[in-house]
Amino acid sequence: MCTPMPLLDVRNLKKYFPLKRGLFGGPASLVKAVDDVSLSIEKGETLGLVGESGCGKTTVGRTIARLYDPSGGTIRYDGTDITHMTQRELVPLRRKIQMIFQDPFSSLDPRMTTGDIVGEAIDIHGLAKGRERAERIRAVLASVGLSDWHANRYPHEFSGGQRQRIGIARALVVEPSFIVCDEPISALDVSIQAQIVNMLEDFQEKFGLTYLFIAHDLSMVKHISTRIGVMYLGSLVELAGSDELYGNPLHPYTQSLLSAIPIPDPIEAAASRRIMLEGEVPSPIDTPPWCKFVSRCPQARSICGENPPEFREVASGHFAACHFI
Amino acid sequence: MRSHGKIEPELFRRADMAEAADRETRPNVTYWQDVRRRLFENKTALAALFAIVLIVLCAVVIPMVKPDYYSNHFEVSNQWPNASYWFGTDNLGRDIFTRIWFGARYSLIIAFAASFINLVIGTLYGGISGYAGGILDSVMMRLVDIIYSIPMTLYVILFMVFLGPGLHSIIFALSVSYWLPMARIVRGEILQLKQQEFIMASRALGASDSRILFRHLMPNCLGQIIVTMTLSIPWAIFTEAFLSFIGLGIPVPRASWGTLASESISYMRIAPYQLIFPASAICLTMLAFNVLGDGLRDALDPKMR
Amino acid sequence: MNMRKVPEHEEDARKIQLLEISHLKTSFFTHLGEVKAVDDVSISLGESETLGIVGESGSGKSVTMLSVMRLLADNGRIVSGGIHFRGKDLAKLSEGEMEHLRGKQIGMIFQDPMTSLNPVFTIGNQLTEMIARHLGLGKKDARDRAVEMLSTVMIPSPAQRMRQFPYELSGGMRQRVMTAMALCCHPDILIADEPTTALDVTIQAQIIDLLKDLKSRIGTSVILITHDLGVVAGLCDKVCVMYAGQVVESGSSADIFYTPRHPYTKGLLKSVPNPKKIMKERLVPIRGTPPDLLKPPLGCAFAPRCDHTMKICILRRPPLFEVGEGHGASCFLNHPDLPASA
Repeated sequence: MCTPMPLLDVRNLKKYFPLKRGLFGGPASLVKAVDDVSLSIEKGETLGLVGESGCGKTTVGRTIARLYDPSGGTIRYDGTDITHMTQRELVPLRRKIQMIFQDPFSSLDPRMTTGDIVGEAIDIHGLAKGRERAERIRAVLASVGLSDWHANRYPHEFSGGQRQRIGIARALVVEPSFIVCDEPISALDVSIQAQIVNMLEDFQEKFGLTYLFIAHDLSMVKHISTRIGVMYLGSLVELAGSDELYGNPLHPYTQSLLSAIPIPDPIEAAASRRIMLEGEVPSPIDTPPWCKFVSRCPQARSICGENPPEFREVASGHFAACHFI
Repeated sequence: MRSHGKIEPELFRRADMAEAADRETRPNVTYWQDVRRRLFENKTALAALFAIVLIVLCAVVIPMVKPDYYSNHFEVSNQWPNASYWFGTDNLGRDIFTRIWFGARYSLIIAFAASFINLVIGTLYGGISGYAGGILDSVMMRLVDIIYSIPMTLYVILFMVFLGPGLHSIIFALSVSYWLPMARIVRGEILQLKQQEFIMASRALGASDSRILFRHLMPNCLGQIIVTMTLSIPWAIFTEAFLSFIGLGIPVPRASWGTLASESISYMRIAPYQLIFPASAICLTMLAFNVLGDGLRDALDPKMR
Repeated sequence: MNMRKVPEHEEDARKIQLLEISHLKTSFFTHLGEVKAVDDVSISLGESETLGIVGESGSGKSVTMLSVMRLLADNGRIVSGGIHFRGKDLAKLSEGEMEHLRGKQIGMIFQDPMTSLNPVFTIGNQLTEMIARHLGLGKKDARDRAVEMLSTVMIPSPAQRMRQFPYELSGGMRQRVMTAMALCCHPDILIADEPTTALDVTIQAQIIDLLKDLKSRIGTSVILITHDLGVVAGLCDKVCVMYAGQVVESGSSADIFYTPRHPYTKGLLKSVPNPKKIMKERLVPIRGTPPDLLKPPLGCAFAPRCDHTMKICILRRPPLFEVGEGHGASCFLNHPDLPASA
């Protein structure tokens, strides 16, 4: 590790959502959306977080950005414990930690112009007024490749890729140092995805940004990330440098996930062997205390149904949670 | 292979596409301009809007031109509609045409005022309940359920008996009871909008609760609020007419449409027109507001986009 | 390099095409004007062939197939062109004849299986009803056939699934049920419109395998509509690339992936990272955005985003140039008169 203190340090993060069971439903059961996740992100790197829907990757992102209150664990940003800060205390921190959202259609207020959407952050933090405000909006829109006249337009007049640019501009205008990118490209067309990914890379280089990049498209994550974490049912099952993870996946879930990536090459696709997983992801309600992957694991043995595997460092910088590694 | 025709080599030169890259192609259309277009494309709704404007204009202008609605002229009592009394006269010889438009003033003032008050209470109540969520939301909504469980007309009547007949008491009685549907609809909308990512985004930027509620949530509910309000006006007109009909309305000699209808009941056999005109006024106005409300709903519905 | 393998059935396919779409134009009429969603598209499909139609949103890939099924929205209309299914022009059939054909001879599965299933009936109910109606079977036989179909699409314990409602099934299971429903009458063509887009990667892999398996077992012709080149590469014999309502390139899977001749196809291939590569390369995106179909460009629709735009591209719309056996690309770069310098 090059720096002594990571920019973001998450220890044993938990986020449980109570599930109501009607009026007299007895004790509410818990959806363990995030269950004991520990990770750290160095300044200037991109940590990719992948997993299937319902694995809790979005919840991790939103909890780190303190849009949700954590149910347990600690989140330290730049040395400061932000786990239990109130919304009011968080306001100055909001300039440092920003988010880019998945859905370019629901992430922009349909009743506001582009200029006002981007300008909202300026107003909230009192960064600029009048002409200076307009100039700042113009500059940030230009930096994401939008023109002056776009500022007076409403979101519905833009294409998906342009909307996502507006979302990026909104996050950038407060000059943050850490951005949670919550599936920023999965709703976009292929030819546009590359535009957005390149833009994010450019900004990272220019402003020294740090990203948490959440996605389910494994090939894009591989491309953009320095390190990658794989999540399954609320827990991290493997975490390693991106080339290491793709070249030498250790956890059976990672292996099957990687083998499931469709390859845009007919010969390679025909040659590749898939590790098919049986069934589907089980419900995250009241998950068992043992290995969560046991119901689908092709290598499961009796110990897997008894003890939870420890998430440990199996090689330098390569973490995994499986009994047989 | 097909022949593709000869092309001069000149045309194979590189073209500069840079100037074509960024142009305004479509006109700048705001949401409300779009709504207006959709509303105006709906001919029935447009006719209803026109009818409402006409009724309101008549209610404003005609009483100014013919201010006498109260003095008795027994020599012309119970006249059928004719050239000098377009809608005929009542048993006291008063011109029904004049009285209808005076009545329109009362009916419309009551309807608009009650709807406006129910808009304010309902929106705030529903907005706060929906946005706060949790226990506060449950308590507030159970309260609405309890009030809902008593038939509205019943306690409008109770209020009227308690407060005594009069313009203010009718408006008061209507507005304290009619905000319930508005509160429920606004709450439902807010609950749905709250999950949208743009609310998350705003919170991630550090926006305060009141900013999120009034800058983001409320403007996005506006469409539903307008529709609900438009549709609540005919109900207010009807309830007012009903109250007046059973004698709890505007005191004589002033009269709303309901009072006019009520007075004419005794003469129905000999002078049915005395009932027909106020009754049609009530029906037409209610119809117009309902049609307009439906048209607005279609025009505002983002799913139609 | 030319990796093209000539399929054994190609010669037959030349003679009678199962489905022949010729010069199809479909438009939507909005208050802003005519949106030319499909603009002069010709596609053919032979017996037991798998055709992938690749394109981005708004490229007209779904509208083309909805035109075939005659399931267009109210403001959409087939303006001109022919859709010949076994020689019958579908564009001219009555609604009644079309209803008979849908499901029985051409089955379709959609991206969102939840909205395509009726939430208030059980899976069994819906399957049995459909089989009984199309195949004229009795209640009992239809039920047996339904159970058989569910096991064909590898649904575990099919008899129990028959009693379940759509909401009780996961996304992948629902997509299997939809596939069973589309296949239960042995259709000649199965149209799959983004069947895996709403699914997770591991489930997507299951469905792709299922389609591959069904193709070889049942021999149905499949038209797969997708934006994902990876899905196409694993599944399709022939590929059509669509852009702005037009077919820009078509050919065998190998033609498209290894010797693309249209800049858009090349751009698409370059903008997806290959996870097998260890060295990190910068992605090459296609700049700009697709054209507004209300005012499509006069010439080539891709010209404003293309890196090789020539004067001719702005003036004239490129026809489909035949660049190889069964491989066509509509780009003037393939014109025989093209000077070597350009």
